[in-house]
Amino acid sequence: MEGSVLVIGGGIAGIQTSLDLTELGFKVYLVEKTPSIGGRMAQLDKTFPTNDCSLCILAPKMVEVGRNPNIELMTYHEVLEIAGEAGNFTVKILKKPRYVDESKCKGCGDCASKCPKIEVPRLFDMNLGKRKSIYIPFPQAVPPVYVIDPELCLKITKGVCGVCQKVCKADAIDYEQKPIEFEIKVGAIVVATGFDMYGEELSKRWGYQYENVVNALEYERILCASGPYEGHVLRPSDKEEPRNIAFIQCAGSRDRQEDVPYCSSVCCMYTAKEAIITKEHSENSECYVFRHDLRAYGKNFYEYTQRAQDEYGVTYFQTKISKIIEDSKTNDLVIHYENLQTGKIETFKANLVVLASPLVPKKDSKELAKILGIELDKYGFFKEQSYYNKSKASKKGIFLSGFAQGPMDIPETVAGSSGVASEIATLLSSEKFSNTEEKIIETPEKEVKPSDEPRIGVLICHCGINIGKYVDVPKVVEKINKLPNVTHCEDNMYSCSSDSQERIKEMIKEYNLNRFIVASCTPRTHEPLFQETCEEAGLNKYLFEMVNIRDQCSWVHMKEKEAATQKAEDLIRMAVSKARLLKPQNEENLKIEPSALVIGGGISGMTAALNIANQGFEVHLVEKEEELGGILNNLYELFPNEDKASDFLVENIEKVENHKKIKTYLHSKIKDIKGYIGNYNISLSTLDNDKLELKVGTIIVATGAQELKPEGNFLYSDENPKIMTQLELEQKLTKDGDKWLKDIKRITTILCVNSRQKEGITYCSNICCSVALKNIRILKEMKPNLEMIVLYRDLQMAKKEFEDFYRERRQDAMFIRYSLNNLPSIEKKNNNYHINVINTNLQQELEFDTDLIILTTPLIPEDNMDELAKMLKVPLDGTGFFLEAHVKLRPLDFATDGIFLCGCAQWPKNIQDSISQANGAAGRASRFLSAGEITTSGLISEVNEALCIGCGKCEEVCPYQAVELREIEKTFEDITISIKKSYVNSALCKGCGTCGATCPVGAISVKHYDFDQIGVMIDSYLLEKTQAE
Amino acid sequence: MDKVYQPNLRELLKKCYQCARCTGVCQISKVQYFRPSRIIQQILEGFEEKVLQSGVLWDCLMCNSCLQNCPEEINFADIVRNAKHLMVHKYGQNPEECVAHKGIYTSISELMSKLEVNPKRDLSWIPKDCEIAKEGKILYHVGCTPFFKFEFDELENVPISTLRILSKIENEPIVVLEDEYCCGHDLYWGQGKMEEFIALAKKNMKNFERSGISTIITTCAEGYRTFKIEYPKIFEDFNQKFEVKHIIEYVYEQWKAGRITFKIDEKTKEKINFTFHDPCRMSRFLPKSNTIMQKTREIFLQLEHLGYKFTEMEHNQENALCCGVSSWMNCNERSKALRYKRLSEAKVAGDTMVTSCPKCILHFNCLQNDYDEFSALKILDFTEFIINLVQITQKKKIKGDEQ
Repeated sequence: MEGSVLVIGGGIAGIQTSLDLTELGFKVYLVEKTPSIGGRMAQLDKTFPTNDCSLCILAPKMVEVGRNPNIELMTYHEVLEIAGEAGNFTVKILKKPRYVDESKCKGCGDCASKCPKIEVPRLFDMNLGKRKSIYIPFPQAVPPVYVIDPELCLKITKGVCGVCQKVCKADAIDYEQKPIEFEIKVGAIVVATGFDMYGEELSKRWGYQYENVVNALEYERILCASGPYEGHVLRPSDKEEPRNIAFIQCAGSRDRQEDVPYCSSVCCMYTAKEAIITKEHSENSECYVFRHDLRAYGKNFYEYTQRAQDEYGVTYFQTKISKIIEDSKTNDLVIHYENLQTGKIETFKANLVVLASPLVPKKDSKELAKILGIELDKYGFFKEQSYYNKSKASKKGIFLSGFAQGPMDIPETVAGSSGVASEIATLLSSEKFSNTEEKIIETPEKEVKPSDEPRIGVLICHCGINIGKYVDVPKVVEKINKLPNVTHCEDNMYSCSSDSQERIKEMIKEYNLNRFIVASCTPRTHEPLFQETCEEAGLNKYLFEMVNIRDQCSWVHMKEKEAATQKAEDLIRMAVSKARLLKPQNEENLKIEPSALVIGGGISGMTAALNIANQGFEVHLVEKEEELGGILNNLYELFPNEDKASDFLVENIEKVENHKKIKTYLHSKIKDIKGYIGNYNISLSTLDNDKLELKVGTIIVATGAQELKPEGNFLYSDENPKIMTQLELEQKLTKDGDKWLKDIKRITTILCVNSRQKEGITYCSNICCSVALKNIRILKEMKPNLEMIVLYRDLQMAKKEFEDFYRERRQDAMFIRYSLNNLPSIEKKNNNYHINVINTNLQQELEFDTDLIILTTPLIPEDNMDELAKMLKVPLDGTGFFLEAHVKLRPLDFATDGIFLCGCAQWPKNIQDSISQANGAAGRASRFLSAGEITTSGLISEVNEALCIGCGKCEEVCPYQAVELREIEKTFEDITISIKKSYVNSALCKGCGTCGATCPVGAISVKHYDFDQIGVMIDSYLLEKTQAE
Repeated sequence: MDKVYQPNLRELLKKCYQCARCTGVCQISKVQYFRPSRIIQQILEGFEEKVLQSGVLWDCLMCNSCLQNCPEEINFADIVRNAKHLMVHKYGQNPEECVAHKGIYTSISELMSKLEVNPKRDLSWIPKDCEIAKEGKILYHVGCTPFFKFEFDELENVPISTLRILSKIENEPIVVLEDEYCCGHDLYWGQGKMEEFIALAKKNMKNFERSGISTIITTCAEGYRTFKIEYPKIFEDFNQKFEVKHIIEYVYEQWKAGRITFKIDEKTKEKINFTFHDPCRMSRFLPKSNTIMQKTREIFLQLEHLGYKFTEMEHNQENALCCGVSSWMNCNERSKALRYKRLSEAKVAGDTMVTSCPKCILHFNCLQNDYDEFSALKILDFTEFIINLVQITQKKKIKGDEQ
């Protein structure tokens, strides 16, 4: 078996899978077809519902991938062939010629700026922007290596030009590069190839053929500050600001005419986001959304769409448009549609139209499936092994991550990717750390005492011409060399090149330096490299300081060279003054207890426990009820398959109970949790032990959710047994079978009972529509002549096969749409009920009798979760579910390291997602268990105990629960009292400095960024500058 | 086979998820109040009876624009067809009130459907240079065009041109039947007369079998669709026995096989700017796998080498506007408005409008009589348009040569 994994596709799915895999102990080959990783997420402007800048939250992960010693990044590569089987695959890979030597290119861009002005559409900008023949896909590309388009390059096509080779100071251009094929051996393969978006493929009715009709990905580029219009909302035809912008949802999805029978799942949300961002960008614009069902079922999603309307004034029309015609004089678009409420055929004039067009499988999916020998589903996405295991492909050892499997949003992709990593960890668990390498620095660290005279070395970078053209580097070198304590200062072309690293080590030795400064680009990408070089020269890495004289200096002051030079000098001088005060810092290693606590024994908890146990770690599974299974114990059949819930449950419970590494505690309750990552002490009260003590390294919260009982609503009460909730119906079916249906002729299902309201529960609970439709199928099968009526507002059937399921249920039931403003009313009649409802589609009042009413209510958090949250020191969100560290990129983590989250405890979700998330949380947790220890950062807060007054403000503001008050005995001359003092847990502290800023007496500060160090920088700027003048 | 298929309309509509795109694309809804989306919704809610009683469905153009656009592919026109049967038989509605020309043409069809009626058709139109036969391989189903001559004289050349093209190319005489029956199209789509339609189909089938043919050629879009799509639903083995071809397909195949080319007499060479009106039965009413629309264009593109200029109308192929009348139903001011729209588009696109449905020609000619602005537009059937351009490349074999 091989301890390495091939990941195909470098989008967020591939990135997350790769990072998690390396932490679990595997080497990763990350193959990406295009010249950079980043994928679709890198193209997005913002992400919903937090409106984070998409690339800003993605780029750190991309950089992490680029720097990870156990990820072999193969961009501009393709997979040609595979052979072998799970555990032992041989993969043939094609390295396409970049015509640029990756090992030499520093990404400075000198070549592109001199490349003749022949431009072609830039694919990264969805062809709205332009690029040269030699190009980088986007400025933050990883790796930051240029590539030549051989079809456009004059040298390659015609043998003339060759300018890039002449200007490249790194000698990286190689016109002679040829494709190279080679083989690698891996134990598992992950397919994470993402999706395409329809444009030209759409039929003419959507008007994509007109210049001012763009698809949503193109619009993301238009909105983006780094996009073709620099973030100004302009329309393509005349680059004028559009006043009326129409967003068309379902522009081809859920549409057999376009051959896309499924819902693309994310369009309702990104449309709301795009409309909101548009309103923020251009005040005068008006946004109109044409929608059908509004599918906003994630955390804060529905509320987000309501805010778009209420706060941002976005207007929603509920209709599927008929066609879009261009007014050839103005290039405006005329949208034809029927106003559903009035039946009038109307037109709407827009200056720009944005199509939420279908998200479809990658064009080359078929080819890749053939190469890998795996199946596609009927929609062309990669087929999963079974509904419950969406991460496994149809062939053993091959896994699916992200949109390649079916429509999903970013958090689902990230959670699923972590799940894939952990499933691979169980498959290849015997090979953990067999192929990985850890860099060990052998040079002993030289001692630097605070009393030693600072001897500072400074290296100033030209970055090709990026800095050198605008900043007079030699002049700055001259000035810096004159500063006190600067032993030596010099400049060079590329500080990041490998020969520069040797030069840095030489300088440290030659001049006996005890501080080092590099003034170049951004520490975000390069600081770890220089720190490592310092360590190799025996210098503690915290004695290194980096100055960014490119991003915020030479780049922004290109037209003011003198000012740029002055600013560079100021910045470096400030760093020198700080460097004098730098101290070496220690990094500690903390042991991790190799066991996990899983709280909650539902399907999520059981899955997580099994996964961790299968990786060989001890698991304690705590369940408060008398049996495992959670909410599944109350279900009859599972959606969307016809599996009996009890069969499914028994199978899983058996696996858990038979696993030697899992200890299950039923009827048990957590009493107390102490400790921190790697070292938790848990107090448990179980059936036979009131005070059981456990020691675990990590904790997973899988506490589930419960169904809301709509007391008093829609006549729901004990007096009306024929008005019941979905769960009560399922319990009845389990208990009584179908006999009780004998006297029932018509059943009415009401959806969105007590959810998606203006007040109270405002959210959409995600799973209720599918639960309701599942039960309609079951009832109809039990008694085919039952009349079924569904009163709904919007149907949330967003996964790839769900729309088909819904389509089938349309045969079983009559669907009537009602609105929140006009809730159906129920009156009790002798033996049945009389319902009055206004069909919002026709604005017509309907009344009918019904024998049974099923109320579909939302899932709400379990009881007493605030207690548990307090013990764990983790937050709940506004709705009472647990709050993850970041809704987009850390859906399974808490901000506090060591504790993880999955299943309905985080948000209502179906079994498929619960399983995928549970595997993901298990993977996230077992990263620490696998490593056995963690290294704490040297950049953490420290408390000056003498100054601390024990007010506790630091504890209150710490987002990572790293600060706590401890009582110590303090003996004074004539009295001994206990005093509270602040204490920082180095395992949890992230060095954010919030505590230091809050402390009223200056007792707490962040190492490496203490008050003196910051103070002298300010002094240096203000005082030394005037002195210099 | 005798039992008429009577589906539950609601069942057929259930896939509808109420997006209302159909109404927006509905052609008749532009000139009168007609809302397929709302009609469907009402039927779904159980008000089928009310909808049928109201008679509103007689107004449907049956142009199939809604099916062309429906995301769930609901075949509304076909449902209306079924509804019409119910409206006649269950609700006693009389479609004759809506039939143009006092129902004479549909009455002819209906008459023919009766067992005892065996027409003896006037074959005097057959040109002298064309030999016809009672038996053979290829049947030219002439259709109703000759019946129209008492009222209109525009269509006289259509069957003549067709037969001439066929005779020019084929070695054997073409089969034209003296006792040819109506295909039944109008009864089927227009008046909900299923029983009569089936009776006609059976009589036709008998004739086809008797004359030993294997290929059926029509010049008429309606006949083409009826034989090609409807007949195989009634006779399981229809497709095994017969191949149905529109004359355009026939010409296309001969051209591709190299048996004919398109040439022009240099002396009479004139530049013709022309456009093409796609009849609904040869566009929206055919399965997507049928490429007759593209074949038509390919031929036209070839004609550009002869100096002809082909321009599409604004709405073309599957998006073509309707000629305004379907199966002789509802000729009125609204249908005039539809025709006016279509001819306005044609006028912009060319001096000649070619089409492949004789009834479309009739309806447009009728409008031309009323409006001077269209009088300059020449409206031609495909066969009339092409006949003088078709040149045989391979010499026709003379009878007896084979031996």
